[in-house]
Amino acid sequence: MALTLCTCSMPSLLLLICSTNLICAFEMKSIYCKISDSCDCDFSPNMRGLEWDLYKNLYGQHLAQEIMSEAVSDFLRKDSPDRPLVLSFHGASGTGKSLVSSMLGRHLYGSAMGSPYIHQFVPTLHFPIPERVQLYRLHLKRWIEGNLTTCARSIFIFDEMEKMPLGLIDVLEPFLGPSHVVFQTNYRKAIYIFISTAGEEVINRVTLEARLSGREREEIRLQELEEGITQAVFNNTNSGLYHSRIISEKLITRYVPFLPLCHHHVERCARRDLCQRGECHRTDVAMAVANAMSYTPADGKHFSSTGCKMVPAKVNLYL
Amino acid sequence: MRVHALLAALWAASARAHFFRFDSISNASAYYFYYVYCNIWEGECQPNQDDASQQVPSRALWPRFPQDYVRVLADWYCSVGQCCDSGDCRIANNVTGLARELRQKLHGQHLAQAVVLKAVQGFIENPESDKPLTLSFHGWSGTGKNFVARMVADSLYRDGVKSECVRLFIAPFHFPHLRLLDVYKGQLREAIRDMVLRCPQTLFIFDEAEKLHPGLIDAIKPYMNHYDNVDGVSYRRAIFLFLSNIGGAAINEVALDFWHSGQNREDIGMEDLEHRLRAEASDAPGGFAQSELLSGHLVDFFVPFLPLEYRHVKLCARDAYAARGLEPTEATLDEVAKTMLYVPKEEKLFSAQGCKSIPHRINFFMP
Repeated sequence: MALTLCTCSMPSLLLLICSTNLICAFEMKSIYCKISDSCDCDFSPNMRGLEWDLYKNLYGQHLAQEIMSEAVSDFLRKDSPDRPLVLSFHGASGTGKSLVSSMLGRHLYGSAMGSPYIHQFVPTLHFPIPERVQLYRLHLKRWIEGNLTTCARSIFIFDEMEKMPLGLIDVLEPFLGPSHVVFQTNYRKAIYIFISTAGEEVINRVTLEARLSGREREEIRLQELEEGITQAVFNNTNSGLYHSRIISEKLITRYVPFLPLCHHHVERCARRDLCQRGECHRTDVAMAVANAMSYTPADGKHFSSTGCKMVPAKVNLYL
Repeated sequence: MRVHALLAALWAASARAHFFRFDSISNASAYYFYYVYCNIWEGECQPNQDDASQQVPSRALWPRFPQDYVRVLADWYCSVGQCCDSGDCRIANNVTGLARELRQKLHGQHLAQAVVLKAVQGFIENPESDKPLTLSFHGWSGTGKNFVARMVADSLYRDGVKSECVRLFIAPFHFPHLRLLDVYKGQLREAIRDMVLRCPQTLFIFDEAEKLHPGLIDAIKPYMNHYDNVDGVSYRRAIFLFLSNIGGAAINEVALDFWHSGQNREDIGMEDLEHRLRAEASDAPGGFAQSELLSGHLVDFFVPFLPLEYRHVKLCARDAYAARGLEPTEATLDEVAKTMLYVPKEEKLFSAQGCKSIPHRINFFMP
């Protein structure tokens, strides 16, 4: 009888002892994390890793580097922010927009797009038929509400915004502002990223002017570009955000412009690709690849028209 | 009491001599489970689950077990078809074979030979490419586009064009009616997704791509882009080939100019052709051109196929005779080559149909 009493009170005694010990609390959390799939356990923000990645692997985008590290660290510092982080990436193709969004995913969640809490929407794939906009709006709203309820720290990436059917993205407006309520969850911890090429003319023009007038690329500041980008996106029928309340209500936290890349940036991209394959010393290949890309504008040929997009394929050719 | 002693002894024994080998048993059982799940049950598997690069754990399992039985088991398992060096038996990746075939059997296409070989070799040897390989073959009919596509399929896959990892879409055959475009989009997406799930390194060949509706190409554009995965499936190891006649006129002009200026055909370089090809391809009428594929910079290489001259037609004829086991004389080859139609009217330089119908024409000139 004494034996049975002892055995019954043993586990409860153990629990009591454990719960008062800090080390045990940590063990309990890690045991809890192993069993459940709460997204707070997966969410492991690594700001230093993100900054290092941005510094090392993103070439020629000083504005993007600054804005990203500032905005993301500010956002993550607050445990209960007053509005979600809404970033809008603008720039020509190949300048690194999708790269930055996957870097963000990787350093916030561990694996870039494999995490179930990162959602990517591609209009040509998910919203192909323009007549069904109403249906897509309903689906999108339900999908976002559902995922915000499961995981408050979700990341939603909307790629190729210029192909988005008009009126679709406005369904997000309540989620981006500070005043909506989604039952049982603090929806304001989510991150939204809009990627598009709208506004690239403005950015290219400003960069070209800066280069022709001899200014350093690093002197270009966001204020020169922001107004132009906002106007271009709001007034362009092809931008998905045409006359959208998201812009008129100033729901976008930060605009991130991506400048077009020069010859030496393309060379660095090629060199990075070569180093990945273990052929770091072949600078002649990097030079040949950079020379083989096509450059615009026609007179001057300052900026690569495809950014760094064709570099790995061309490296195969010249190696 | 005796039970306690026995347990203690057993524990001591297992602690010292890894008698039970639990870890390797669990490895083996996980391995066989995934094999059954992926191949027999046809569940959704991605490469890290469904490849046999993790060896059949035969040796570590039971060291005292007779070697013969283990070998018999391994042989049976290998005969079912899963233990090849490259992991997946359906994929042979024989790049040296491809190089040899391109050198010996493809006549008159020095550019296509170099570019296709380098592109395919680089892609296969670099397992961390960030987008699927997309090649676009351009040129007149009969210059060898389908021929090269077939060579690629035969060298890279064990069963060649009939492999379950190769899928051919012929635009006017598979997607004939304009009003059914939405249906075709859905079907094409499903087909691509299913094939890549079963075989990550799938080869998709789109023949007569100039007849594809632009909406159809836009529907599959996301698969060819630099995404990590699209709806849970990674397309980074797939290969897309587009065969079309677009830009044939520009290529022929360049070839003719080179001949007029007395330069060697082999001096024609990619830089002469690539920009003109891109420019003409974006102006030409038809689906392929108007689609976003070209401006979105998703095509890795534009491979030009130059028009064939008299000497190349003779080489084709010699190959055709050799395929039948015959040894023709020079005179016979000349006669066969003369029956083809040559354009342009004054120079009569290039065969209008390339090497098409040569195997049938040699029937007239049997020795």
